[in-house]
Amino acid sequence: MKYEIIVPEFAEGAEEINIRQWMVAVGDTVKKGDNIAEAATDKIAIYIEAPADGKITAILAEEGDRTLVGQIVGELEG
Amino acid sequence: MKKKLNWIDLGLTSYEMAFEIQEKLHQGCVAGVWEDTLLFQENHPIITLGRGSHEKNLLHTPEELNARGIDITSVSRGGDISYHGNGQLIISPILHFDGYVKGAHQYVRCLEQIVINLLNTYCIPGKRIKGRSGVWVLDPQTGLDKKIAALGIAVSHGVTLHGMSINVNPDLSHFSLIIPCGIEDLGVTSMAEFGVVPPPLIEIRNAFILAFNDMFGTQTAERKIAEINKI
Repeated sequence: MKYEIIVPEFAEGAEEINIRQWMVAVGDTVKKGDNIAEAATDKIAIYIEAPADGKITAILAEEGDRTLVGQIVGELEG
Repeated sequence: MKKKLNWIDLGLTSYEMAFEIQEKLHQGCVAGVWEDTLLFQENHPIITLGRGSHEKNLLHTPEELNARGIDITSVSRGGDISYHGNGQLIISPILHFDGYVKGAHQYVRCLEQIVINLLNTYCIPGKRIKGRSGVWVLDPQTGLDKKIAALGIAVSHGVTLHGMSINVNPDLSHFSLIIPCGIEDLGVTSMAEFGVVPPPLIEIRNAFILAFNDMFGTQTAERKIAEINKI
């Protein structure tokens, strides 16, 4: 089953956050809840978690990209 | 019934050791085997590079800094470059922030307000500046705003890390080794520079706990460092 990796809602009213670092690569195996990417605003760093056990199949946002809350930034096959 | 919260004071310690403890508390909170905790510490001189750091804001090489007894390290909080050292109280709330506020932005604004309330008890008029996090005070001699408390947090699995530092009586000359938080046009100050007879950090710690409890209606209890090993 395919799962989408989505930028989580991290603050009321906040819409944008930069992808700072991917902690996984396509092909890596992850467990649900693993931190797989780091995103940051000016003063807040948040971690994006794997939505399920599985293998990363796509990374759709580059490090440094400005992303929107709810945006799909990757995919994994669980 | 009031929400219960722990506090632990590490005293004067190295940044690395304190961060290990911070991570352990974080793991305990995420796993549900340890309650939310306010972690206090004072660090030996160190420059920390947050996730938003820019090289240009570090004005000396690591070798030059080490020769002056100042370490340098990269850290997982948000924000740019910062200095920590003796005479500065660092507060790292390790907590499920959604139990206190709606979202991370509101959380950092609440931390700022707690410090503003604390400073008010010392007749220091702390304030926010739009677009610039932390707590600031107007220097009446220069007419410039100066930062008295810096802020940078991380959130992992819904539990916060890092937090705030309050300049009680640090060596302010150390801030000139960097461009603090990447802000060139404003300065850095301390409670001592603002005419307050420097209180012991323990006094500021207790004032922060009171202000935190006032803000969130919490009830705090001290826990000992030795208990962390049981996590």
